[in-house]
Amino acid sequence: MLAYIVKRFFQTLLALFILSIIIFLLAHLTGDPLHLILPPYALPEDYERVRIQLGLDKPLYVQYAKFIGNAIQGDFGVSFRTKEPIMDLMMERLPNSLSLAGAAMVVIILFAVPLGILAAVKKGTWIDTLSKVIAVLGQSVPAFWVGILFIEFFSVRLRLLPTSGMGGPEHYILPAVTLGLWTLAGVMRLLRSSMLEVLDSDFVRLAYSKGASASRVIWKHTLRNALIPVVTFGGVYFAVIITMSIVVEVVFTWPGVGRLVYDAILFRDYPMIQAVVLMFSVIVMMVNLGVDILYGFIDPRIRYGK
Amino acid sequence: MTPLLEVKNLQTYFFTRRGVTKAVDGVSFSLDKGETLGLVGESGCGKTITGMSIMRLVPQPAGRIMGGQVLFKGDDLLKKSGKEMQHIRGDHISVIFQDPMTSLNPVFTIGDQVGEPIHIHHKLDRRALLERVKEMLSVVRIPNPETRILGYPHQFSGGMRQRIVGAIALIGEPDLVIADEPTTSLDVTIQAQYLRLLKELQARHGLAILFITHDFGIVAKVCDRVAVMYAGRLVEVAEVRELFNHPAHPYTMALLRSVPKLEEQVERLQQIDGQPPILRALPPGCYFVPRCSYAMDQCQAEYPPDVEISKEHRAACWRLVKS
Amino acid sequence: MSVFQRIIRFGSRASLKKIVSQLRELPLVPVSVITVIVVLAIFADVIAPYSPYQISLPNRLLPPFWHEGGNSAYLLGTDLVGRDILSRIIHGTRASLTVALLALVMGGGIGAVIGLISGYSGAKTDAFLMRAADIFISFPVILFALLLAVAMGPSLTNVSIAIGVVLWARYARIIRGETLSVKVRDFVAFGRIAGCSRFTIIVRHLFPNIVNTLMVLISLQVGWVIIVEAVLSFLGAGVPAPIPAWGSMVADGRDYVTDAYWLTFYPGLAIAACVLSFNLFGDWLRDTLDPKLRQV
Repeated sequence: MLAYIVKRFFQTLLALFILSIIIFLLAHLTGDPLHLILPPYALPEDYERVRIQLGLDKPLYVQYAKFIGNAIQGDFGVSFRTKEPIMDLMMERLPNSLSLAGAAMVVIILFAVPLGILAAVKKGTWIDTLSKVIAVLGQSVPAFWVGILFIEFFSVRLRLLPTSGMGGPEHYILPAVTLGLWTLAGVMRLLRSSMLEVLDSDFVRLAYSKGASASRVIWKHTLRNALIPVVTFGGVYFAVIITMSIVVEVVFTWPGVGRLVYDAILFRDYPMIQAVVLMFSVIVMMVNLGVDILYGFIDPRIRYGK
Repeated sequence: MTPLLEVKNLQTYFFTRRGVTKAVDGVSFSLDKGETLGLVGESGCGKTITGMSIMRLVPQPAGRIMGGQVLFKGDDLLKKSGKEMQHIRGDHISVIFQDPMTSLNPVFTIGDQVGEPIHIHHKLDRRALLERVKEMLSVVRIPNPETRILGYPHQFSGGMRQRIVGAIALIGEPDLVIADEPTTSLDVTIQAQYLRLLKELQARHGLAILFITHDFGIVAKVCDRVAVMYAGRLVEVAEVRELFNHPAHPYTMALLRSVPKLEEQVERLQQIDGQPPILRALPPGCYFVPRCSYAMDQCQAEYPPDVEISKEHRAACWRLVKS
Repeated sequence: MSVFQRIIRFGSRASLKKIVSQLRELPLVPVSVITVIVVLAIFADVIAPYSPYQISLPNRLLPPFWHEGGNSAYLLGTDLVGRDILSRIIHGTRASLTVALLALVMGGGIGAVIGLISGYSGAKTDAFLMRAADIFISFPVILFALLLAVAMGPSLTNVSIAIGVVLWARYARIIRGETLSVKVRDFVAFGRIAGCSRFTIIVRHLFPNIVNTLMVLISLQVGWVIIVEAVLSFLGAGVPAPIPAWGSMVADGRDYVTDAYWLTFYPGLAIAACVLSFNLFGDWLRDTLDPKLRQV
């Protein structure tokens, strides 16, 4: 187990390293990076001045070292748009984004797990059909469209929920559901098919032959095994939630990092986007590592090896 | 003395989009306490489903027990409720499946899994339960039970896993064990050990065993009586020695011929030509006709009745009706 | 033998009758919708009543024709500057399908090649390629596409490249798995004994056996790619205005939902219908050709 953790840890480190190189190079690959930083009306003298100022005349690997050195210390430079340090801007809003993501995960677990189990156990009944419909629709509708419709319907027309912004629990409901919808559908489908597969296996039949009741077989024997593939995908699901949060934050005017990105896109604030992408990617990879370790704990075949 | 298990005219069908499969169609046999009855036949003949039907564990919704009686200690199991069956399974009747690799749940310790039948049916405190499990593990000859109780299935070899499955089947001290090809997945060397273990346990606890297999060699070693199954029906039932020496049904004869004997010099292994019939489209007459060297006109027209050849020997063949 | 394998094997001589008989099992509704969408994309200029760029200020913000104030000349209404919503939606199929096609061909192509090479080569190459793939898989697609789109400037090709470049890793992993299981089959050994070059074995023997999986993977992802493109366009990093794209149409109409719902509703509906059909089709294809992929 320890060997497994160490191996995954170093793999993640390597991946992060390569990732940072790619992100760094991107600005250079697509032309003069200064085009992305300086306003269009800048003069050639400005270009020269800033080039030396930012050390862009030095060889690439030196620039990269500086880039990564700064990043590790939390210095991502200054937003081209607002002239404030990017790190401060991000840190101010990161908790908001994370709490929204957390709320979405709660929604997912609350709905997808029971529905997935029920759909498998009551295969062929109306519950199964209903969950299949929800799953297919949930993976087909774009989150931003659904979010806009939710606001129009629940907030404007029915006046049940607030239209935008962050606040108490009622502010979380619509954004969390919008954000979690796609993943909820995916988890439900995966759990259902995973449960069906396990229910078909020999050890489940053996459990019945011991005289176990149906509920014991489902909750104890089947679920533990069926959740393993779902947990394995946990990292993927989290990545989807984090990236989709950009869109959801825009639609619901949520004061998170996603809004920063949106404004950055509008104003072509490249350093901002670069920093956010780097940070999000790091977070996603860390979560992936965490999920892999968790998976090692859940599955005794990994925990205790041979 | 009433037999421990009496199966009368058991019928289990499977309903799929492509038609109705008569997996078990009118099977009758009995089993006494302490006896081992072998249920033999080719793959797909319905022997596993027969075992599953006795336990009421037929895969649903496709499978359904359509009729017949399964009298266990006089009670018809087919009339019992789900809860009543739960009481019987694990405590009075248990199963050993074929594949030790898939029979055990990979995420629970074997201590947990072996102790489960007791945990479900009796209220024993943790320490007593652990003692029972350790005791059972040493009975099935798992070395170092105290440490291995905390082990997981993937840490054991195939042979050991099958013994663990045996421990699970026997810890509840059942009256009847349904062993469905328990040694088929094991190495030949381990097979013999396992069979010896089963026989010992049977003698010690007075178990009745329904031994499902396709291997006549094992039948000879382990069984007291044999029932031969073909395409969902029993074609012959007899005591082991009687069956080997005086097989009455052409199918049994063909099966016995295809097992090479050590003393004989054989040019080539004898196979039975042809294939078993498709269970969805069975002929009106005897199912074995296409592969039978003795087939007569009557055989094709009508399914043969059971003929009593001697006290414990019966077979379903028109040839026997004449004599 | 699937349709794809038949075409590879027999080329133009593939039996039309056999292909048609397999086509009979197709799921009717998804395939019809997909056909409609493809037809709309190809013949958009002819089918759409107006040019998607045609501004008509006197006719701005007209509702769909069945509402009060609607005009049957503009079936689904008009937008802020009087452009016909229906025509823009019809032309929007081009953006979505072009991006999907380019991205998937790129991602699927590169992914398949790398997967095949990785699966068939020695352990070192395999490990290296798969390590690279893992890194790319853990890279969130949309973020990377955002970055690339802003660095290179938003355009249809840039979006396709951005998506395709990150997508290959997912295909490579699965195709590699398939290759591993196919390469141990007898006919591959025979090929080696007969002296076939590595290239020949990969192209003539391995590829036809993994093509089913590849097709299923691609079809399962079309919906996803369309959503990614829509998200990027919505955020302004995708297909640039004034080129009609469903995502940007939803974004444009966002502030007017209460009074002019049609600006947002119908383009979004188009996305949903399109993605739904492709998803259902992909599911059917997977169930028919390669049920092992159930967990993808």
